[in-house]
Amino acid sequence: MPKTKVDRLTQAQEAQLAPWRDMWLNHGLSTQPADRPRAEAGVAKAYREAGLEPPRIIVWLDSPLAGCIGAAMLANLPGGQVGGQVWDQVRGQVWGQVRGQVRDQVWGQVRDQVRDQVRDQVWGQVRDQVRDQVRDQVWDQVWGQVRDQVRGQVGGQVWGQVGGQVWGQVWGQVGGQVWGQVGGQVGGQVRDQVRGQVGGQVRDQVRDQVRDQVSKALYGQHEAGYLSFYDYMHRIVGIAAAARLEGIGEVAQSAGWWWPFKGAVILTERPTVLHRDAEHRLHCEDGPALAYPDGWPIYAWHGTRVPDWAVTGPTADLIHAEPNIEIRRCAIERLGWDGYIAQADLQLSAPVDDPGNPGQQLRLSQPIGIFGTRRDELVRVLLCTNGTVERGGIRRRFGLTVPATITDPVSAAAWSYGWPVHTYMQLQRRT
Amino acid sequence: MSTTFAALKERFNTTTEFVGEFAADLDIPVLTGPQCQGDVSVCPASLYGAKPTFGDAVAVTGAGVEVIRGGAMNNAHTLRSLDAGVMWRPVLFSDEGVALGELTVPAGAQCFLEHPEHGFNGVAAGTYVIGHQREQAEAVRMVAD
Repeated sequence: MPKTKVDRLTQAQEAQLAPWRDMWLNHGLSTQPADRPRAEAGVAKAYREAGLEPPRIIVWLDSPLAGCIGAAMLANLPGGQVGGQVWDQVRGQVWGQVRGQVRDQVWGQVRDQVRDQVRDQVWGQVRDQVRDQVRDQVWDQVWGQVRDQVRGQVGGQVWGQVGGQVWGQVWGQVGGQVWGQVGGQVGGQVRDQVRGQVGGQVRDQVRDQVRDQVSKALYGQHEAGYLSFYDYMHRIVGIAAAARLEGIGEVAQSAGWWWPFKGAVILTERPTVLHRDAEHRLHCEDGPALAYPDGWPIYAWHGTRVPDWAVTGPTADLIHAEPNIEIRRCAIERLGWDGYIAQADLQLSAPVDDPGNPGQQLRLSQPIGIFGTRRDELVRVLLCTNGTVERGGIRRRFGLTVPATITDPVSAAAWSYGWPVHTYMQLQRRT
Repeated sequence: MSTTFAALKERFNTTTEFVGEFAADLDIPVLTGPQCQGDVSVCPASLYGAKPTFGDAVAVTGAGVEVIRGGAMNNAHTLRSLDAGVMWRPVLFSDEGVALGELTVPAGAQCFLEHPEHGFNGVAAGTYVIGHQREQAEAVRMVAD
């Protein structure tokens, strides 16, 4: 007997929207160590909800990357062998072929962690079952059913009112970045650093196996978005069907990414470091914007993922060698145009007075191919230099780029405001 | 025509937290000519060059009308006036892509563009195009304040 649809929230329910959102935002952005007992209890609940026996083997790793590697190891083990032999064989066949300093360290670390944790547990009894990844059962099927049932009981307006409160900040700005980074980086790093006599086929296989694991994960705290929605529906609106996501919700409140297997589960830690800008985008000027306990980092500049040098040590040479224009622009912002111009040894025009701006002067650089080297892609840097000298005898400089076809500083300034030159020359005041 | 920073702060009684160092008696001229406030520009319509199209007008009052909100620091450039008839029409379309809207200040009235880092710019009677600053990267993009 279906309940009548909930078409509007009561005042008491509406009053809970903000607290619920804030509570889940807190979980989604948490940098506290995982609450391991609570996460493991949540896993057990999620398995039972899916009609599965809770896993007897529980492996904790320190980052989403480590989790992907560990999950790929578990998923691709040759069958029918026990204990140390298994690991030696795996190592010999595939993982041992992976060379390169960083790779060796990471693979070795993860391999040791997985082996040590698994060996201590009931591996022998479950070894044949492990390899079956059960995300489909634990997640896809349960969620799909829950979503349909809840949708059937809640009117569109309420759905819209509750949805979206948390999603944008947690998944959009953070979780999605992690997802993108792990997927992209795993591919890049494995591909780049496998060398020696490893044939292309084996190398690609390893890379693909690890990268595949990105989509086989459940995302723990990064799923706070829609879990907050269903949690609200369950506890505040009283939709019983939504209770089926409780187990997954508890993992999300306690841990990072996780991979459910039949008989085993890999859980991972939450980050130790998370820095964002005023618009909630990943951003940090002097180090990783996101980092995990094993040191795995994401460097970001106002929401754009960048290599570490762009933040910690941008130089004109590194900028020129970088093929991605977005990253180049972030690195230049970090370095500053005056720093870039000095390092790149660019020629500047003679200074001219900036109209309406006593004490400030304009200079225009030679054409540069920083954003493209075709003639129509060349730009010049317009530098505005402060008239006043700051401490240390430095005059602060600000820069922006204009089309290279513009050849004098005043025209360049006028272009940047979209004004005719003669209008800009009449500028009365600048603040 | 001019006024001072302190007089304006008191006149509008804003809750704005000014970041720059502004002397209380700092002169704020009220001008009819072209001006710039950081990466925002105020240009008499007759000197602008292009002819953007603008939408419906809203009245500019002491409560303020935001012209644009900055990028990284999330600070806004805000129009304020205590005189009747000051109107703001947001841009619908502009060829050069930098126009933000049209400001009309009737005879005898004054309008002020306020920003936490830049203080105030005073605008006298006239019609103006208020715009943004652009730069050329791999495509034209707006300068982030």
